[in-house]
Amino acid sequence: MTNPIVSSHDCSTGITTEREMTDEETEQMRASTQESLKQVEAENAQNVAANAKLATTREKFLGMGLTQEEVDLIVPADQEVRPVEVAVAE
Amino acid sequence: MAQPWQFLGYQKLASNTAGVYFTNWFPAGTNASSYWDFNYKLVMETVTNYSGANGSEPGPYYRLNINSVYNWDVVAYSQHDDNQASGTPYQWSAYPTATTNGRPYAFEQPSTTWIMNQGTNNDAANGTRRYASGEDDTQWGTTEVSYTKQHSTGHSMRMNSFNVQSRVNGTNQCFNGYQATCGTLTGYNVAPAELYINAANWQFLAGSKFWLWGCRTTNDY
Repeated sequence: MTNPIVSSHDCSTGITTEREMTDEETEQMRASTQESLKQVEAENAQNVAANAKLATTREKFLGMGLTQEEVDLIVPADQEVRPVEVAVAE
Repeated sequence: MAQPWQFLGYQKLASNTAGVYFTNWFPAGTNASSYWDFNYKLVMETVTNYSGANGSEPGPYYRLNINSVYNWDVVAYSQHDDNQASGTPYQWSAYPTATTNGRPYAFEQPSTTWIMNQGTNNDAANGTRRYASGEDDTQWGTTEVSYTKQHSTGHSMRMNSFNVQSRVNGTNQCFNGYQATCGTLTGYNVAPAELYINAANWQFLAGSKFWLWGCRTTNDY
């Protein structure tokens, strides 16, 4: 399997060249992508936990007789949980 | 005293490409540490044929890397054209929106989603795209990045995108704007040699275009 293509423009000469990524560049790109995805997973875990607390808080307020509209005004919206997936280039 | 803006280069990709470099973007014998202040402007017109499941993440996402400059803190917002057809105001979407700290790349997906995505054409169930016809099954978008170093305040970037994402699952919806800003004190006086635009999760399709300008106290080309 060939490595992805990169295009490089030398500003001092004005010359643009195309080449395959080196193995090191390819590995670095993949590693940083994985690192990013791990960060999203960690953030998602925090947000899921926070959302569970928010849901519990809403239930408590509803149990106290507040309307859903009133609860929505008091309790912040759920935090975003992002999909974690890597697309595969054609 | 700063020199006038100088055009530094243009690339139009001949092949589908995963990364785009601009090298030697400082005048010979100089680097970031040679200047109290500098400005670079990067304009990109990117094309994708990736069609996301719902017009949001995941999709093609790109990264901007200034080597030796890292640890970026980023804030990002997207603009969701929710109901332009009826003349109502634009609305800020809650998604994708992000803040993140300590990233090695500026504007790095997924946390700071620099996206490029298309909806589905002529699909009644999923809605139609707003800015391309059925004959043109690609999405093009324009992204502008202003990169600045100011005295001792470190490096900062501002990104504005337009038309970078259309959306499925809605009859008249698309994401058509995106803006983000980031900054770092780390490495503010180092010597970056390359500007590297990395398509981390997809490719820049052939035909994508990139322009770079610089405004510094020295122009020696």
